[in-house]
Amino acid sequence: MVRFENVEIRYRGKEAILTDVSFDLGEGNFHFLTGKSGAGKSSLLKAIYMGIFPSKGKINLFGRDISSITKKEIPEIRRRMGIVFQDFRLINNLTVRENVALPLRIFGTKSSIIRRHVPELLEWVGLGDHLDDLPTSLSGGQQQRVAIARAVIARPVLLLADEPTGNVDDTIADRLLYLFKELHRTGTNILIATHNENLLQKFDYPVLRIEDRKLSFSD
Amino acid sequence: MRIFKLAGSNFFLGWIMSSMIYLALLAVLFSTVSTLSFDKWRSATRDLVTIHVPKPAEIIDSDDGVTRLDETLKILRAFPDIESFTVLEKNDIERLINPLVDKDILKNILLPALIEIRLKRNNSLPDLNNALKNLSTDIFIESHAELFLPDAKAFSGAKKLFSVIVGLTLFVAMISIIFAVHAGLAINRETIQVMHLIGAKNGFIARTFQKHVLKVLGFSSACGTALAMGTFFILDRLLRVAFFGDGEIDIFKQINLWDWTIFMLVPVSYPLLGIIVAGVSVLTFLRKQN
Repeated sequence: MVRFENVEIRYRGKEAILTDVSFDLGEGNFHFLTGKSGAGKSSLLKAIYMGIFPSKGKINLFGRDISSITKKEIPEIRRRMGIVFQDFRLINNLTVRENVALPLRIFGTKSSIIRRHVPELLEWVGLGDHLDDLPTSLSGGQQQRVAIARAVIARPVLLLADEPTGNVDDTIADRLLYLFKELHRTGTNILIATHNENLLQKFDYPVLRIEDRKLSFSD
Repeated sequence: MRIFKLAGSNFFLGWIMSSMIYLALLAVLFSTVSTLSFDKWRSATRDLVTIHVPKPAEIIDSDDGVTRLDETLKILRAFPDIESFTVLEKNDIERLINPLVDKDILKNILLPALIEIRLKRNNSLPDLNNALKNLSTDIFIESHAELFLPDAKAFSGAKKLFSVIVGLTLFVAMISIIFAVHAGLAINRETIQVMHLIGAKNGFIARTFQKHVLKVLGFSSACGTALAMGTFFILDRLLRVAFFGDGEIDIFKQINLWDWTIFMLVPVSYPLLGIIVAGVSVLTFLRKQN
């Protein structure tokens, strides 16, 4: 599903963040991506959702080499992914319900389906009482759950989560991880970037570790 | 769902569009009314001429006591292309001259006879002129159509000016839409970025902007049209009294269904053109960004 072959990632005019990165994430996987702050976890996720393109090497997404993907095709590829951003990136002038409904609106889903599914999902993530609240009125943990709900509402094939527990306490972090486990159980492939070592120990999933611009793999 | 924050640009755009549609409607209506009035005026005067017969009572044939006016009328009766003619009464002539000449002077002036003629066709005027000149070189014909020629030019100029005004309002309106759209895109840059990452195509973002623009323009159109209609009613009253006398002209009665259709094209076409311009602006901007 996601294959990196000797990938190098660097921002224009700067030193490479990641060099010679190779890995293969097949179907039905749940992986953690870890490393120190600034190690390049977010950049690796960015490369997967085509926010940046590799300066060297080859990235293969859903069987397509991304260098052969045209600009017009990028939205179609992104629609198969759900992204949870570290800073949530919720749209503050939309309510919780509208934020979560946004991907479905973009994909052209019928309003009747949106009206049914969105409250169901928000109920599931424990925000059933906040449907019409604005994101700014929610706590960090609640905003995080809205961001997760938005990322999974369209049932993505691949969920990328960047430090999804970075802004919440351990209890909520555990709850969120159980939420991801549940999603994985329903067939979503998951890649979570985190520097929280406790989580890695508590949840026994394979880990991709970035150290000194290199990626290593451990079960 | 208000995805984008556009309150500021909506307010600016709303005002500009209302004003432009209002001005355009006034220009279209003035153009229509002036054209209709002038056409009516021109058709009324097209085949109308006035013959001035100086010294009408002068006897030109002493045997029969035939006056110059009698002989003139004889020629007119014999002329085939005359539909009708009326010899103006002395009172009518005095009434015409009265505002220009003092009453005491009027008593001492030997007034010419004035004959108002409606011709069957205007191109027979030279033949009539020749026939009358044979009788007396002092007799002259005044063509009403020629008399109003400078006015015709003024009307034609006014019509062009109204067209220019409509063109300018359209130009300003479309530039304002482009400006408002670009301001909206700049303000909502992060939201657009998130939408792209979720999988939104440029077309979706453009359609979202178009919906906003259509809402604003629809409302502005309604406001501009309502204001213009209000102005027409007021002008209708004022124009009647000021220029044509009570009951002489009714702007609304003069305008037919076709004219109303053209008139209504303004508040309909501006929003339609507006959403096209908005869509193209958003797509162009996003293509440059990607």
